[in-house]
Amino acid sequence: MRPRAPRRGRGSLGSGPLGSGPLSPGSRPSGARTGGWWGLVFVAPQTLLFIAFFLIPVVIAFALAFMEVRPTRMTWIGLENFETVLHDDLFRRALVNTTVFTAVVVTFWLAKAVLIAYLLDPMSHALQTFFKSAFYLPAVTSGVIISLVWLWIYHPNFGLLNGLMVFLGRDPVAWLGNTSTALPALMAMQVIMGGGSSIVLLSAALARIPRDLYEVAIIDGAKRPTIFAKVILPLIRPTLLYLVVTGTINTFQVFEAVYVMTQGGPQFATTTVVFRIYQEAFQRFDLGVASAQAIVLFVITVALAAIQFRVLGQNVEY
Amino acid sequence: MRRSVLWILATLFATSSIALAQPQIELTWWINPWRIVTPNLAEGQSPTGEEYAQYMSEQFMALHPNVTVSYELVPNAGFGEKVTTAIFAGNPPDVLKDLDWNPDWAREGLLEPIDPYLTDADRADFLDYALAKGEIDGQHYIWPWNNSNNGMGSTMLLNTALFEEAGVELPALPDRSWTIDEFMAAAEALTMDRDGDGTTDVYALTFAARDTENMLAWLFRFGGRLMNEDGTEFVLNSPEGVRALQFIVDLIYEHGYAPTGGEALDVYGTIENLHNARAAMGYGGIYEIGRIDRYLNEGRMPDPINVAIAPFPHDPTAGPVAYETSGGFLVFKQDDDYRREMAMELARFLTEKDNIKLLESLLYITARRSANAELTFTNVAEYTDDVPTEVAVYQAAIDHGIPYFGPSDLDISAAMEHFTAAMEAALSRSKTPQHALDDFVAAANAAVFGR
Repeated sequence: MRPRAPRRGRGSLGSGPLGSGPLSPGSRPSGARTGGWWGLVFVAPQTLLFIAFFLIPVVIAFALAFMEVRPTRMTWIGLENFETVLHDDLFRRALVNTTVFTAVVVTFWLAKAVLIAYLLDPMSHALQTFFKSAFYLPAVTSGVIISLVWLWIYHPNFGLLNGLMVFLGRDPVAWLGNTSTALPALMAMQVIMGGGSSIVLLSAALARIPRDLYEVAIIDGAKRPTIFAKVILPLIRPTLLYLVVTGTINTFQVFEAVYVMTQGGPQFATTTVVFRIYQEAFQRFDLGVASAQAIVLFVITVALAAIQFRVLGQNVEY
Repeated sequence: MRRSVLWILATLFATSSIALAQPQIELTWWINPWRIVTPNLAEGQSPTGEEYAQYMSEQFMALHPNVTVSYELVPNAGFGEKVTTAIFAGNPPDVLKDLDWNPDWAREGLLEPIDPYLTDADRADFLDYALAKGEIDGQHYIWPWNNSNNGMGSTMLLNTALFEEAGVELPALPDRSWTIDEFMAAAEALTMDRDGDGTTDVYALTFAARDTENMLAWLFRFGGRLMNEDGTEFVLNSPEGVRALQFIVDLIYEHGYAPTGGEALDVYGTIENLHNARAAMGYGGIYEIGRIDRYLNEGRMPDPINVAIAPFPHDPTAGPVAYETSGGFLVFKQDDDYRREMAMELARFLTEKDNIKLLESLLYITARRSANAELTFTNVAEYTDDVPTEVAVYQAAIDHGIPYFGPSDLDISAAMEHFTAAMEAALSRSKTPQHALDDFVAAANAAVFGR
């Protein structure tokens, strides 16, 4: 029996960041085979946790979406839960709210992160470290704490923002009580407090751009805006793609701020999809409908990610 | 000598037989934190909420050495989520405080009826409505414990210093009942611009859209009700209901007796305004007087205030109305007869007269008549002029209690988010009271009754 040649494809040893250099065919040391087993041993705990606490619950959620779930029994009801979801005005409202929230937050969040990373790029290492740490700070603070602080900022009677309004001679506003300001207020909070990790990643992406390219562009007579639009943006596109995809997925699942600050109000103006799922599952105890809503959310986020990959997913090499 | 030895052996045998007849069991008991002062708490020590569960478990275990009570303190926030998850996982506790309970649990056969364990003395001693709260399809499922709540939706707290400053007399004793007209005259005087700069420094009261109990209390002033008597339809958009909501909106926007921005507030917004003397009237009963003491100790309010309790004002044609509610303990289904018996025994133990009286330290009225006759509430004396008077006023107010949320065996949780939305709409004037209540009634009837 002929020994099997090692499989060499894209992403095989040598091409990844952990690769130790090219290997000629047949030169793979025998220890590599046992190394494969060791690799399995090392990834096993994470894989088991992933299976137990993610994969199995997801599979169960898929199953529950087709059932009427009561504490003492589960009955197969086909697509009935999905019909309920599609006819639920509040779920449709939640979808619209979440889409608007995601579009605005991800756009402004990324714009803020790109701008700040761009401004940090020429600074000294020490200054960059200071600012990156400062911008990253909210990311290590509990979302509930941040929401409580902003709840006070937006308070209609004692709030910091209304204090400022009165100081400027304007009438106080019930920021979280008004249907036209509640969602923008949450979005503003998210944009201001978010983006720390994006700034760190974009700074790294900017630092990787070869300086020769800037020099060539300057020699060719390009001004700063042109260099930014024609050189920098295309070269950080892979990082941007990653941030857009992960940012969209994360923002589409917004819950904490809504739960703490508005409970979906006023008049459902801030009801989001995940908050609706929470209400259905834990306030109305209807796990079937909640699972159907979760699947709708899953399909939407996968579709959005696919679209983003298609639009932005272009290999960049330099 | 030999006879003595035989006696000892016989006694030991009998004791061990009894012990063998009573197997070692473990009961789980879930309760949210109740800051009850237990008899073993050191003088001056403030309860954290865990002492009660620990103390009662130990007391019960001392009486029943073969039973281990494993209590679990479940925070208020997330209580319903945890219980629901446990039920769906097939692992609910044996005994549960009935916070966020769902009548469907009884219908699904998840709960044990308590009727076989209720004595005639219990039935006579428990307040009728407290017992009736747990009645589903003719059987009872809740061991009544606390009567009424913190007073929200039942009574108001009046800041006596601000009443004096405004030259307004407190409503007359013995029950301090007052009419809407008397209330309006007081509210006008209590709305004060002290420095004459055109800005109101003290409002008469606060409305908060997300404060369901107190908003319903106001909406019931002119005879409006959330549901019809049969509990088969939401009817809050009746002329009486609409009139009451218009009254609230006028108090804010036409008279300026209450601050704007109520659409963004919950009950804590009303408490905050009372504690900071930005409003002369707040909500709640004896328990809420205790909150003043707690918040002062925690540095959450600047200065102490002195308060008096009064019922919500009433319209002479509709009469006084207060919020009738109670709570207690549920026993989940048991496969084993002995476990069932001991779980029931634990629930009974928690609710018997001497133990139920521990609620006094928390400033709650109990669900037992015999215990209520002995309550004194002396520990709130610092913040009110005469404790027995306030207790009498509070008890007189809740004598007019009605269930605000329809029949206890009907789950209306799907409707109440639409209620909050209607209050937000009315208080922000994005809808007229009629429009807001019409929308609420339509959405609530669709959500609960499918029509």
